[in-house]
Amino acid sequence: MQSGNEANEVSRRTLAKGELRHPDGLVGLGRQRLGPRSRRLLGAACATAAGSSVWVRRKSAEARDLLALCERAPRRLTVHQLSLGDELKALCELRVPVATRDSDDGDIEIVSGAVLGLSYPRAALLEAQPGYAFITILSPLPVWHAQVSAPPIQRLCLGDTLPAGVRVKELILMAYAALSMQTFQIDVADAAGVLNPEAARWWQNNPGRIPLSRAPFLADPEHEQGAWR
Amino acid sequence: MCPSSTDAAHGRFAEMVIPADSIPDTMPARDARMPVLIGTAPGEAAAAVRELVVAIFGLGAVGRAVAIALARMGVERLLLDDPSSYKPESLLTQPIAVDDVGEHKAASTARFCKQLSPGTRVFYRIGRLEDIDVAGFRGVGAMVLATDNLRAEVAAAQLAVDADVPLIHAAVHGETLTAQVRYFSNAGPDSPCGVCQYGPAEWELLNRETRFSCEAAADVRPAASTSSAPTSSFSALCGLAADLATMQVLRGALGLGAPVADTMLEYNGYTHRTVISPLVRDPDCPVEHVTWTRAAASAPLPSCTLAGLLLDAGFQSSPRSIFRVEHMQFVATAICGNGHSQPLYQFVPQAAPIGRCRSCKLELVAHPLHAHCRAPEEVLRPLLDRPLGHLCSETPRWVVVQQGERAALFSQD
Repeated sequence: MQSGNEANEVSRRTLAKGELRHPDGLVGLGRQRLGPRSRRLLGAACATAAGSSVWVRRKSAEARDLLALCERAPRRLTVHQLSLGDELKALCELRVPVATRDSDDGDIEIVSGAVLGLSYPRAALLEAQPGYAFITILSPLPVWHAQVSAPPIQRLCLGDTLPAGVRVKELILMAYAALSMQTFQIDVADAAGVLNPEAARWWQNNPGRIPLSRAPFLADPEHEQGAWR
Repeated sequence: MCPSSTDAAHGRFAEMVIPADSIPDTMPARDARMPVLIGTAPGEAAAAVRELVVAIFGLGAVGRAVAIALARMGVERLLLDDPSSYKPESLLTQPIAVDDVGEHKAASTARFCKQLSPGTRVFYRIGRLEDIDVAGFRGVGAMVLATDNLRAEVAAAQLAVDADVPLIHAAVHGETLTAQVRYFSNAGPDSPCGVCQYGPAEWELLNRETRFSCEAAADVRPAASTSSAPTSSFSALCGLAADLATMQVLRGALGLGAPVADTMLEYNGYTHRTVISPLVRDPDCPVEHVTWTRAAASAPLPSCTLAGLLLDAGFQSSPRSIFRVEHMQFVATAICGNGHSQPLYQFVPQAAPIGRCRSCKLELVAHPLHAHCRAPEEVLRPLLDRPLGHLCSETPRWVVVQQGERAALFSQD
């Protein structure tokens, strides 16, 4: 698997002129001011947040981080629904090139975004979770990716084990890197992440098509078409 | 194998039964060696011991010795749990015979305890601690934890808090010849638990110990494997930890000497000294420090409505209420492989099939965003007045209603 540092280096080298990045990057996300829409979403979710006070505080903070990430990358990530009823649940739209493939002998098609279902359970604070525990891809269907299981539940695997207390913002950044294939796992012999062995073999035979985009998360998707493969 | 061993292997406690003719006629009376403890009336300690109900998790060098000691005292009931079997190496530290190698620890220990104390009801279970049903803990007076992995520690901490039971955690550190017993009273929201004591090193170790298999991706509750190194120690140190833990069980239950609640007792073989220190609560501990108070439902659970249970628990209706029905999940919407979604609005067992899609007949699964292990009142609002029997695909045995730091457990038994 390509390391995060290597992926960032690739991104830095290939950043095209005119691409927009938030001047602060991801620094100080906790101090990011939320816009009116984000504040409304967060307020409504917090009003029905259930569980012990520690869990409510933590998931509220995670939800705020998620919305702050949207503010930093407004054209990359949108949160459509947010709930803190028990688990933190969010319906997010991520602008990222995603490969789909309808037939066994057909070519892949690249679509420009994915709808993600994010579920962050309380157990994630207490113990390490499997890499596929948090994010499912609700659309497109079917995704053609070694780390995404076949429908009906397209789980996205972000590694064999994610540590206890992993942050929601990290899950989103990992999901972006995985779907754009800036980081990837296509070795079917390695148990750390392959949920679709057939897709893994296909990508092994087509390494020239990896990654699907070199653009960093904070780049403006409007300006990154040239970076697509 | 006893008739109920199948239950034990499927995650339920099964009672150990031994043939009556295998109990020798010469079995001594249970109180024949019971001391009259200073400060107690004759028979008082014996009566208190006979009422003890203790659950023991981990039946290796420490846990098995605790179980045997309690059986020799003739306690009322023992619940013994361990998923593993004795290995040849177990002979080096654990109080077993050669014939025990290859046997499930839980079954072997349960049989021996029952032989030692036929009057004690001994239950055993061969399974993961994380899957224990807290509703079956009625009457348990103390839990002893003697495992060597942190995942079990975390699960035991949550279980003991939920069940409102003191947890006595016994451990050894072979390299420093240290035996340690921590007594967590779980006497209220301000009581510490084992996880309250975790620092970065424990979290790092916990993360390192836990591994998942990708083949389990289809499971709702995938089983993690634990890769902790085996404990290296002398049997004497393990035996000492077991004896200290047993003494703490007794001291706590009988109120002997200085209070043991929320203390750590450590013996070190190098200094040959014993140190007692207080245990403190971490206000940011991720374990939910919410005790499930047992409550009585006004009707059998299948006839109860969720609104009725809220009232029985003494709660007002609130968007911050959550409902947990056993290990079932509430599925509001199910989806199929073609992306068709279908309303369900039922509590269903987590791994059970849900049905088939009305449009394409493909198998339905719970929609990840519309399935809840602890269902919020907001989601259940249109269903609050329907009997639970209509909302559940199986007869519910227990339900927990929670609001913030308060929770009520309704159990069918």
